[in-house]
Amino acid sequence: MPNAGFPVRKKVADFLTNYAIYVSILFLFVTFGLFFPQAFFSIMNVRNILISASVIGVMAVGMTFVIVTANIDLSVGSVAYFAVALGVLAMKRAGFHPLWGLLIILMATIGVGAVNGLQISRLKMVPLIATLASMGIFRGLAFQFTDAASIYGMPPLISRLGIGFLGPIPIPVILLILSYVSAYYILEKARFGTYVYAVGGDREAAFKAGINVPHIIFLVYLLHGFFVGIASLILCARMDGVVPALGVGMEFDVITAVILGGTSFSGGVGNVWGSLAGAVIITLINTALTILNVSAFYYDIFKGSVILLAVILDTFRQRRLGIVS
Amino acid sequence: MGEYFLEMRNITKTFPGVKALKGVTFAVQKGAIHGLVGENGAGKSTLMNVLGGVIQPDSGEIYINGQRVFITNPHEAQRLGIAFIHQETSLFNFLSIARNIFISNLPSHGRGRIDFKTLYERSAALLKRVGLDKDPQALVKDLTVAEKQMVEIAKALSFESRIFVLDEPTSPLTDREIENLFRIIRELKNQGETIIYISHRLNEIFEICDSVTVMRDGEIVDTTPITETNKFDLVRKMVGRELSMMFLQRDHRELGKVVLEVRELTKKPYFRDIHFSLREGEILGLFGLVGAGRSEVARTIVGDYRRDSGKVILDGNEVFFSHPKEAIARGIGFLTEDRRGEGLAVEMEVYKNITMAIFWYQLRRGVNLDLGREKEVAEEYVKELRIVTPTIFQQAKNLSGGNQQKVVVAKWLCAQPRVLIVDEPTRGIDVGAKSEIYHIVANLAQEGMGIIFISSEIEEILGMCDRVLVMYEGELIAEVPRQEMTQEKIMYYATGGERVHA
Ligand SMILES: Nc1ncnc2c1ncn2[C@@H]1O[C@H](COP(=O)(O)OP(=O)(O)OP(=O)(O)O)[C@@H](O)[C@H]1O
Ligand SMILES: [Mg+2]
Repeated sequence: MPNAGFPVRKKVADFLTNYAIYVSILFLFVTFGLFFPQAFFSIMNVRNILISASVIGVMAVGMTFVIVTANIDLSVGSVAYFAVALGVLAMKRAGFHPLWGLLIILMATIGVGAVNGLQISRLKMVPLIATLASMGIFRGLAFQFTDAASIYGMPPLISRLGIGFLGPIPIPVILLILSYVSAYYILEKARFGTYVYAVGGDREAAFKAGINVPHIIFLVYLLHGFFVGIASLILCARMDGVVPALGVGMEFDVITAVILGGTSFSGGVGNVWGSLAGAVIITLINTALTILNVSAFYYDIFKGSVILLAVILDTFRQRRLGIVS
Repeated sequence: MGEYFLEMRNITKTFPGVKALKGVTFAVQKGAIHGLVGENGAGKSTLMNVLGGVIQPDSGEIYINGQRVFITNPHEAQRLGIAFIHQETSLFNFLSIARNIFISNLPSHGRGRIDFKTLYERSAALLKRVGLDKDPQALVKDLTVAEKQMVEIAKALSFESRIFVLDEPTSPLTDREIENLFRIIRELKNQGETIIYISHRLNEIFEICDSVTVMRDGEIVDTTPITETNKFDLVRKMVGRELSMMFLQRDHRELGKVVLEVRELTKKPYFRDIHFSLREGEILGLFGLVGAGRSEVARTIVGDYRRDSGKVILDGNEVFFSHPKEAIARGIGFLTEDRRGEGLAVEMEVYKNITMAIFWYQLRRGVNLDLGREKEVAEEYVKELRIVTPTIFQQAKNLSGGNQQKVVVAKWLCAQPRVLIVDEPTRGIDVGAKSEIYHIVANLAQEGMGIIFISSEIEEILGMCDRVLVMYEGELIAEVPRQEMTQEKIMYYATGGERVHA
C-alpha cells in the first residue's frame, strides 16, 4: 500500500490518472481549433473524428480484453488486411454475394483469433512472439492472394457500412458505439467480464478459484477476433476495397489507444471507455499530422513519442496502484 | 471405512529437488475439527493443495464419504464441497469485495448476467457474519491484510461445503478477529461439517481442535485426539528433537544513547501525538489490538505514510523520509507485516532476497564488491533460521509459505541497520525458527541496534522487550517497563485502560 497516506497528493494523482485522458482530448481539440480554425470546422468536428476513430476504436475494444488478461496482440493490422483481402477477392473474383463477403471477413478474423488464442492458452506460447508470427504470416498470405495489388469497387451493401447513415448518425459510428456498449456490458455486468479481470489480475489465484484460465484466454482472443472483424468491415467499406498497405502499423495505434485509456500492461485493470478516449486522441493526432503535412520522418518520430508516453504513463500508473514497487 | 469422512491414502508428490510428500495417509472424521501441524516446509500446504485440486499428486487415492474421488482441478474440489482458505491471499485487488467473495459462483440471471442485487445482499450478510464492516462494492486493494483475510473467510463460506480447509487462517488476524473466526468454525462443526485447521500457534490448536496430526519432512508422524497430547509432546514430534528455552534471559543490559526519537507524531485518522524515544541496544515493544495504529506508526516513521505533524529525530537530527528507501539509506530497516506483498521478490532466488537490503559497504572488499560473501551470508541465515530449500538458488516462490516469511525476516536481520522496526516478525513461522528469531533479535540488540518490536502475541512482548508501549485507538495509552510487565496489565491498557475500565 505505498503512498496510502498522501491524501491530497493522492487525490490529485487519482484525478490525473483517471481523467488525464479526457483533459488531453479537450486540450488537443482547443489547440487545434485555435491553430487551424478552418480545418477544425471541416475535419475536426465530432462526427468526423468519430468516423475516423471508428476502425482503431473498434479494434481497441477487443484489445482492451486482451490486455486486461495481461496478454497482447500484434497481429491486428495484418489480420485486417488478410480478412479484407479474402472478402474482396471472394466478392470481386469469385462473385460471392456481398453477404458472403461480409461473413468471410468476420470468419477470417475470428479464425485468426482462435489460432492465436489456442497457441497462447493451450500451447503456452509467449503472446508477443505468437502474434508477431501471425503478423508476418497473414500479411504475407494476403500479399500472395492479391498479388500485392489494389482492388477497388465494393457493392452497395458493403459501402453503406462505410458511408451510410442511420438517421443522423453515420453507420461506422453506430458500429463503434454498439461495440463499446456491448463490451462494457460484458466486462462489467457479465460473469465472463469478472473472470477476465481475475485472470489478468492474478492467474494463480484465478486458477485456485476454479476458473478455467486457458479457456477464458481462448475466449478473449475469439471475442477480440470478432471486434477485429467489425473493424475490418468498416475498413473495407471506407477504402472501397483492399490496398496492400492496409493496416500497416495499426497495432501500434490500437495498443497505444488502450494504454493511454488506462488499461495496464500488467493486467487486471482497465475499462473500455478509456480505450475509446484513447482511440479519439490517436485519431486527433493522426489527423493533425496529416493536416500539417509533416514529413514521414517526423511522423514516425512523433508517433513513437506518443507510444513512449503511453508506456511511461503506464509505469507511473502501475507504481501508483501498487502493482509494482 | 465408514468412520472417516475424508481419507487420503499414500499420497506422494515430488517437486524438482524436493520430495514434498512421501506416501502420506491422512484421515479425518466427520464433524471434527482436525488440526494439522508441522515445521515450515513439512508438507502441510502441499497435502491440502492435493485435496483442493491445486496440484496433482504423483500417486495416491482420495476418498470422501467412502467414495473414491478424482480431484483434477480446483473447480472439481468445489463441486465436491471442499472450501479452501489458502495460506497466501488469493484475492483480486481490482475487483470489489463482493465479486471476490463470489468469484467461484457469481449469482446470475441465466446467460451469465450477474445478479447484482443477490450478489450484494449475500455479500453484506457474509461480511456481517465474519465481522467486517465494509461496503461490498469497495475494492479489495484498499483493505488491510486482516480485512483481506476476513474476505477470504467470507469467500470460503459463500457456498455449501462439507470440508473446510483453513491453511493458517489466523496469521494476519488479532485476538478479537480470531475469536470471531473460532465462533464461525464451531458453528460449522455444529452443523456437522468437517474442518481441517493448519496453524503454527499451538494455543489455537488446543483451543479448537478435536484431534491433531503432526507432519515432518513430508511424512505423518502421529495423529492423536487432542486430549491425549500436550504442547511439549507436539513440539517434540514436530521438530524431532528437544527444544531449548524459547526466550533469552536478558534482564540486565546496557542501554546506549538515544538513537531514535519520535515527538507528537500524528497521522489522522490512524494515530495522534505519539511520543517516545528508543535507545541503542533497546528492544521496545509496541502492543495494541487491531486498529490501534501500531503498524501505521511504523509506516509513518519510515515514510511510507506521510505524517500530518510531529517530528522524527535520528541521532539528534530531524529527518523526513518521503519513501521507505530513504529510511533504509539512513539506517532504519522495516520488516512489514505484509511480507509476501511488500517484502519478497517471488521470482528472485532465495540468496538475492536475503542479501537485497545489505548495505553495500558491508560487502565491499577494497574497491570490489565481494559477491561470494553475499552467498556465504545467505547460507548462514538459511541454516540458522532453518529455511527449507534445496539450494539458495531456488526461486522464492517455490518455498513453503513459512519459509518465504523466514527469507524476508532474514533479509532484515542481516541488513544490520541502526534501527530495526519489526512488525509481527514470527507470524506464520514454526516454533523452532521462532526461537532462532528471538535469539537473533536479542543478539542484534546486544550489539547496540535499537529495535522496535511490534507484535500481537503477548508472550513475545513479555519475553523480548525492555519496555512496552501500549496503544489504544490511535493513542499511546501506557508505557510499561520490564519489571512491571504482566499479561494482565498490558491487556488492561490495550483494551482501553482507565478510560474504559474505571
Ligand atoms: N511449487 C513448488 N516447487 C518446488 N518446491 C515446492 C513447491 N511447492 C512446495 N515446495 C516444497 O515442498 C515442501 C513442502 O512445502 P509446503 O508448502 O507443503 O510446506 P508447509 O508445511 O505448508 O510449510 P509452511 O508452514 O511454511 O506453510 C517445501 O520444501 C517446499 O519448498
Ligand atoms: Mg504452508
